[in-house]
Amino acid sequence: MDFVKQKIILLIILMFDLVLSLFLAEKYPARWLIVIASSSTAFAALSILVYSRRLLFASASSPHAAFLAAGLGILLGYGTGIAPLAWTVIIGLVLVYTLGFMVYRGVDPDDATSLFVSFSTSAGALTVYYVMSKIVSGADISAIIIGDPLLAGPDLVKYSALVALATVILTFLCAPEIVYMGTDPDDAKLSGIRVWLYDLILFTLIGLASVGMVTVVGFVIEHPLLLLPGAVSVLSCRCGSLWTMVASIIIGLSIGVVGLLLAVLLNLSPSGIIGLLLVIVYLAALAFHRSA
Amino acid sequence: MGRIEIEVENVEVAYKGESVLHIERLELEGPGLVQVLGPNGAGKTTLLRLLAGLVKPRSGSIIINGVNITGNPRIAGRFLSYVPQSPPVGRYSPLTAFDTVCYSVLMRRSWPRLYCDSKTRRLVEDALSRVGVPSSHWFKRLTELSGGQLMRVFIAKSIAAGRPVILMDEPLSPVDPAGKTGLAKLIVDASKDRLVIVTSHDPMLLLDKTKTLVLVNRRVVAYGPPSVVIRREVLEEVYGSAIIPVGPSHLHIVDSHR
Repeated sequence: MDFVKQKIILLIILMFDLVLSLFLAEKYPARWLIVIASSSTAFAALSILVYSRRLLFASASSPHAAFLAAGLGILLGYGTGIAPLAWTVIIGLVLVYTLGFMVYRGVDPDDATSLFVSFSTSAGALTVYYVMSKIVSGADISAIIIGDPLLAGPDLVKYSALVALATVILTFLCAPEIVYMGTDPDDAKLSGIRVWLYDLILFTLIGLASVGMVTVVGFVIEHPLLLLPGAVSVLSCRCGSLWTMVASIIIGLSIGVVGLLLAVLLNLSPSGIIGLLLVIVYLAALAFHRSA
Repeated sequence: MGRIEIEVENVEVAYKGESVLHIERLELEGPGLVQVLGPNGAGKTTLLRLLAGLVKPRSGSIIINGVNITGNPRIAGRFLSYVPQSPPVGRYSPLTAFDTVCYSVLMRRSWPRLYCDSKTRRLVEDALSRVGVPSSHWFKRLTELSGGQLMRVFIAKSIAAGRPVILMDEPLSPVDPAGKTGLAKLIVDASKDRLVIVTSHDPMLLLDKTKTLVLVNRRVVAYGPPSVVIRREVLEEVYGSAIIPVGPSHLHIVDSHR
């Protein structure tokens, strides 16, 4: 399939997304659509960068950081009176930077991931258990684990939209450098670009998205959201890197809005449906790639 | 591109406290072709990475045209580009051959580096054509290219970067025997107006065009024109018992890429 046809198909899918979004916003609370569309878009934009920069360990680890950060955020928010979301984001970023720093200083990514995931899940379980038994209801906790966009308050709606917008803009502005750093790290250094700065931007975006949006999609479903849209677009799109990125975002957005509609109609978990749809689309892309 | 001089003095590179490469003095001058030879683990790749500023030595200095580039790839990059031994392409990299060369050019320009303009496109097309990548392969992903084609794309990248020095780490290793001759010609062509430094396990293809031969085995054992350096006692010091005399005037070196 040539480039022009692929671009037309992507535009048709985008139009379909817009129509479906209008329908959802008209029929259901708009905040549901905003948080789902924002998180799907942000994760999909990051997905292709994560693959390009070969930071799969970060996508495997950051949701676990989000789990711990969200639990600690509630605890500190209760104790200090400052919004839990603010604590969650600060703690989450510190955790994600710690992981990035370990790898930057030469720790093997596999070793760093093992240590980081083990620590954050264990500490997260302790924190969440304590928070659930002493402070908040089970619904707030289940939102951290399996996500619930229907519980999103005004702060989270604004935060999600802002993070999605920043992620998409920075993805396009920094993508050439980040993709190139993943392909030829030595030449990236020789070319004079500040490798550490782009890595810092990418880790920050991964942290902001995975930690701040954890109650929208849940830390469990953050894994496929960060992993699959990029893989689907690379497998199914036969065009340059810029359009592959566009494809990743459109695929993520489409699955997000279709997933939300199905979840509302069938009264099922939105993040669960979105995760399953991603798996189905990934398997279809894999089959298409093998037959092509 | 003019004359270029590289001077390496009293350099020692160590990994985990163990000295892996020692260079008392090494002077290379371009344009021309330099071949770096030595057995596996002799320090050939370390030498190239040292010249590129990608490895910081324990002591000593590397000067290119009067500028100290020791352990500083950003400064070294003003003079040279580097083609790695096995280009590290991820399975899900979205880059095509064309994108790769284009990005390599864009990275050397100021931010934002959003797209390949028409002038850059022509530069990229010229570099890809020059290294013999057919236009039908330009928009293929890097993961879809053979080892030889991938090496050509990375060489195109270093040509398009427009630097006076190109370092190539075993560029002939991933190429099938039929492709080696074409790639060798390409390397020789590139060395006409640049200083091209290649590491190799098989010097014969390029030997008659080689200006300087550098023999390493954890230290620079000898360097100079091939006629001066290729002597039995020098080769024995580098390759040891891997040298097998075949007849009165021929030495066979048992050495291959690992």
